[in-house]
Amino acid sequence: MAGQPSGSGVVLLLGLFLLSSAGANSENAFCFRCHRMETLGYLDPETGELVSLFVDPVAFGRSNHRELSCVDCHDPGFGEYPHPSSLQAERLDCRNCHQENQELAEYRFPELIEEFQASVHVRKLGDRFSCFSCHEPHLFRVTRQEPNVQRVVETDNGICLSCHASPITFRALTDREFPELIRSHRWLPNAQLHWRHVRCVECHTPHTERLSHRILPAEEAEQNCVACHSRNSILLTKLYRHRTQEARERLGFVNSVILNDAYLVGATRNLLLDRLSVVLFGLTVLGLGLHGMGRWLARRRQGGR
Amino acid sequence: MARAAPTRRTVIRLYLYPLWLRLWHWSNAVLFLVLILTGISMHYADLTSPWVPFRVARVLHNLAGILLALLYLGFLIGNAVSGNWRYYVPPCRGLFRGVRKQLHYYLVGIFRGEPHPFHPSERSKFNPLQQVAYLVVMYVLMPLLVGTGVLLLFPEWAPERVLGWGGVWPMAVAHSGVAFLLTLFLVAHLYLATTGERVAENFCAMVRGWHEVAAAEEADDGKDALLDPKALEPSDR
Repeated sequence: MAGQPSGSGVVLLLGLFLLSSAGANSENAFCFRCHRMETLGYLDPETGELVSLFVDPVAFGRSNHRELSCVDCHDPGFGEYPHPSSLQAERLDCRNCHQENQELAEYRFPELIEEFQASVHVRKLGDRFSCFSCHEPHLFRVTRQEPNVQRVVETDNGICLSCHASPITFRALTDREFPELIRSHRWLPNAQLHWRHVRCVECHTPHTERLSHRILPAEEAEQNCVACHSRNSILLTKLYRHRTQEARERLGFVNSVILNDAYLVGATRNLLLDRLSVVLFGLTVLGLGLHGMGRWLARRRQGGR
Repeated sequence: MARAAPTRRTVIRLYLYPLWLRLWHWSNAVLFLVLILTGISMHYADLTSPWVPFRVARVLHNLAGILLALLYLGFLIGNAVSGNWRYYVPPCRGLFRGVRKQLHYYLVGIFRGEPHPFHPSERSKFNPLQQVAYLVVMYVLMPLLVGTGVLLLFPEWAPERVLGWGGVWPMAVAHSGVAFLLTLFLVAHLYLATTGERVAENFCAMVRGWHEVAAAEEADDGKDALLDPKALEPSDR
């Protein structure tokens, strides 16, 4: 069968391809031999808490950092086992890679760091709060790469709730009384509905085209309903388009057109126009009613004659 | 062929509304009612006492809107093929005089028992006021309503920004505004339909297709009655 590759040739080529593309993954495999164990951890002698050293290899494989080797971020000394004890005090900083990397310029890190420094978290917690407090680098995935909006909301709100819904984690960081979310959001109509469909950061950051990292204190967070449920709503402009396109991919063309749920209640409303329309409708009905009554009376009079 | 011979009551029957037109008209009417009801429910959405539950209103509105857009496309094609479009073209001369005359009839003459100033014929089945109103409704407001509705279903086609606002919002407001104007038109249209010789006359005509014109009146008022004896044949164009 001249001209056709043999079966063993195909296997060999495939093997060479896999080896050449494995790169960081094969280096990481060494680390994952231990760190894929969910029970791997140690007891912190200072706090007495159990610190997990588990990294989910599947989730890491989906993260934005999947192309990196573990020792690209961690000290190369961690490439050896047992790890040198001198590395225990290692402190990682995202800025080492992100601030200088021109490929990541679109994320505008200098601006982002300024916002972060002004956030309520850093102002109140100082060094105890870092990028890693919210972004787990082994799992981190840029929001815009996630096609399902519902999952984006769940993931992003999950970050906030990991502290704000857990009295234990919350008290580990602050001495403040643990605020119950239901109570602090009592002013918000249909709070549960909002939490399922809107990210915490939509209201708890200033309104900017790009999501700000300046998390606002509760008293400065948006409490004005018409900021979203109004004309020119940033939520409407950004989310509406995204949701409709996402629904089309998820449901198929016909179903998405009929079943799409991108409608933002109240976003088309304007108090003046609403009142004007009621008045105009009332006047029209009244005018026609009077006209009809006039016709009826006129006909009776003419019939009488 | 011609079935328009005057009856014993000297009434001429004109076949003005062919089957396709009547089917379009009544389907359009039902869809409009569904769209108004669901549209108001969504615009004034209130979770505690909705007219139509939000989830139902949303799907119904989308579905009825798509059907209405398809029907409008059908109307345009039917109009072009059958020649029905000619009724919407206003005359070059005498339009304003005609509109004034019809308005005078509605505001004054109707209370004095005066006859209708215009009678429908196969050549001109709309009075001048209807002609202007239907022209605006069918060829200005309806395309705007359908166009903005389509852009709300496909927001990626809407411009990024319109006059400094995010592009979706002006589409949504234009959609609501035009829908409101058409709702007013519907109310006025329903009322004015009762101003025939009998209250139900025009409704019956739109169901059966035949319009009755009193022959005696036509003779008295020949100048304004645009009745064309040649055009008294039924047609399903």
